[in-house]
Amino acid sequence: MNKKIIILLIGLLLVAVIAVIFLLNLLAPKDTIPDTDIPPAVVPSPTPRENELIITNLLPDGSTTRTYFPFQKITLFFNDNVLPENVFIETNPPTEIEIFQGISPTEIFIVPSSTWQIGETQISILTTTNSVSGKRLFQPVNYSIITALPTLSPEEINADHP
Amino acid sequence: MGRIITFFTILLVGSLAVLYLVQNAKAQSSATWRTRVGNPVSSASSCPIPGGVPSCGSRNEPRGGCGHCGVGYEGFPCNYDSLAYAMDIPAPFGSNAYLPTVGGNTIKWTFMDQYSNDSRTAIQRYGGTDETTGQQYIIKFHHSAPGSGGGTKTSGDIGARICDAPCNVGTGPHIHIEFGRLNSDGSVSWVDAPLYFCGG
Repeated sequence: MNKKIIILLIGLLLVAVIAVIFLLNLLAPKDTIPDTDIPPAVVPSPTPRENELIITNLLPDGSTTRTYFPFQKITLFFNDNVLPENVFIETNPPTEIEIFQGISPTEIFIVPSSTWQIGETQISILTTTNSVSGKRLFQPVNYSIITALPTLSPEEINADHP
Repeated sequence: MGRIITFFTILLVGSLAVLYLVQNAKAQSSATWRTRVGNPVSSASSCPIPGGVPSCGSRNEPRGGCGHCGVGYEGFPCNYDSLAYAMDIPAPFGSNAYLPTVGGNTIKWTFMDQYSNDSRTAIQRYGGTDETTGQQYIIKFHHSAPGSGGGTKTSGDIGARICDAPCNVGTGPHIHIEFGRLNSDGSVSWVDAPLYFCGG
């Protein structure tokens, strides 16, 4: 067979393989920044399966009826051991955060490097998050925190203590 | 003709490969940060005024015969929650007050705000995170100079300065500290400052 035809066939084969991979990648579900109309509360994961990573609890509880200090820590509780470097998070508005190990191997702390902005910050824990044993977060978990600076009383501001 | 076909084939393969890589890169947003924080542990109980000796402690932990809202505090109002947990540390006007360690651990302190009053003093408020344990704190420096606080700092950095004379600090220049734990549910538990600082 002509040498050029062989090269052409190999090229076409490569194109076909890469095109298939590319299409599969396009069709795979992607994590997105939460839309502003997502309710500011924890979206619970579905019934856990053995091979899935889920968040079993979040503190504070994402209540929209109260506000928190702008440096409030957020605690994630997983159903499996998780390392901080394997937790992936997006925030809106973008906020630089620090993620570190909680008290137990299944616990993760998230704190802002400086502060959460005053008002609402939406936080999305992405499905790229995975556990030590390789379980992947089943679906993104959307959460929001509302912060404010509690005011001091006039008695405290003008306190006449010695 | 054959060369042209080969050239375009290679070009197509290259383009698709680049597209694939770009698509994968998008999966990690620029808004994603991951950090594992390990922190050094500093020396034990610190005092915002180096070498300072408390002149007045809290109601439950009095010092020098004085406890805010308790013994030796008669005649002064006790009209807000955290006052009963406070401590005073004397130092000259204009002295620096340093952000403390807690339980020997270095704390990352973030300035929150200040409240000034007519007596040329202010209250500087900081929130703190112990990145070893995850415990969070609040500290308030009363009788400080307006504008003397600010920024994100760590234990050992200057957090405030005692007000400059003339300013109203009662019996003499000192820093008044109130200290509390921030709970996971967002509530604050004020604790006796003399148990944590200045030899506590």
